Amino acid sequence: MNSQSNMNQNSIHKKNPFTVPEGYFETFSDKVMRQINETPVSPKEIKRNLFLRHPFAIAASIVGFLLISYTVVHFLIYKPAEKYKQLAQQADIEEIILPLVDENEIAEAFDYTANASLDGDDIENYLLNKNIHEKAISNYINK
Amino acid sequence: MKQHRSDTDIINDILQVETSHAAFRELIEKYQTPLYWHVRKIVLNHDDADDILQNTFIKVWSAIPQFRQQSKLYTWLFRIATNEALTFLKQKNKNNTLSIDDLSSEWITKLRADPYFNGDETELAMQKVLLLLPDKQRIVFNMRYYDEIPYEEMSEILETSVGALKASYHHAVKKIENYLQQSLNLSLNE
Repeated sequence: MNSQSNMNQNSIHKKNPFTVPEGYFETFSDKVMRQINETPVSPKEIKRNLFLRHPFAIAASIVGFLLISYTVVHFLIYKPAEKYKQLAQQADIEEIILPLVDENEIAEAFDYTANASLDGDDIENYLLNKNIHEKAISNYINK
Repeated sequence: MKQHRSDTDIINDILQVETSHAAFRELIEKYQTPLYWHVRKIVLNHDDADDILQNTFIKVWSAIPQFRQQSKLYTWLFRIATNEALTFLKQKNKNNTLSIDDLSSEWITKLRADPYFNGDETELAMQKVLLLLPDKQRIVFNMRYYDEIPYEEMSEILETSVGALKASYHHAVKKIENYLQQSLNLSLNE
């Protein structure tokens, strides 16, 4: 038989040897309620006043919140945006544009801009190459 | 015997300004007896147990808006009372230079003279050996042996695992039996 069961079987020690003054439990709640009534604060009010009771804790929480917000905005949003902006400025324009636009179109555009001073013959040649009739051109000019 | 309402009903009324005092009185009347005996077995003296119990209920009054009804009210009350009693013992023993044996003997002398202790020599011996146990082990023993509280409930109250509580109880029983067999020549097997 193990020790635990030995002790559990032996009921002699299970008797409660302590007693209380007569009428103790009948008056105990009065004693506590008297102390509670002396404190003019109900549980609801205690809950509401919690923030007023810990001004330093609240101030520290606000400062902490602002610090965390600043860190998040500065390092996770502002800094990466700045980084991309700088990269864009530093990058060779050709590196960005070449993959997007056809090389021939760029060359064509370059030709046009290089010969920015177009004269009447150039225009006429261009229009004729595009199969636009001479009469239509003269009608347009005389309009 | 007075019938009490459910814990949920009592708590809801405590949280209403108009009914808070009457409902809190009901809560005290519902739980004062088991809480008193729990505390009394820890501190032994009636006046100390009375002070601790009053402090316990005042703390409960202040903290009840924060009470999460996930745990049982009974468990929560026992936890507060246990912590109050342990804090009291810690304060009391802070400047104490006596050895544990001397302290235990001193307590027995006090118990002999206590008008609210009417145990015989065997019960005095039992209290003496209980006082030799560490406070938490003594609480575990009292809760399991005298109050027969299930380990699962004790685990919630004392915030200790069931395994640790079982081990603690087993060690306490061993120590008590050894002591009683040696000092009183009392065989528990009989």
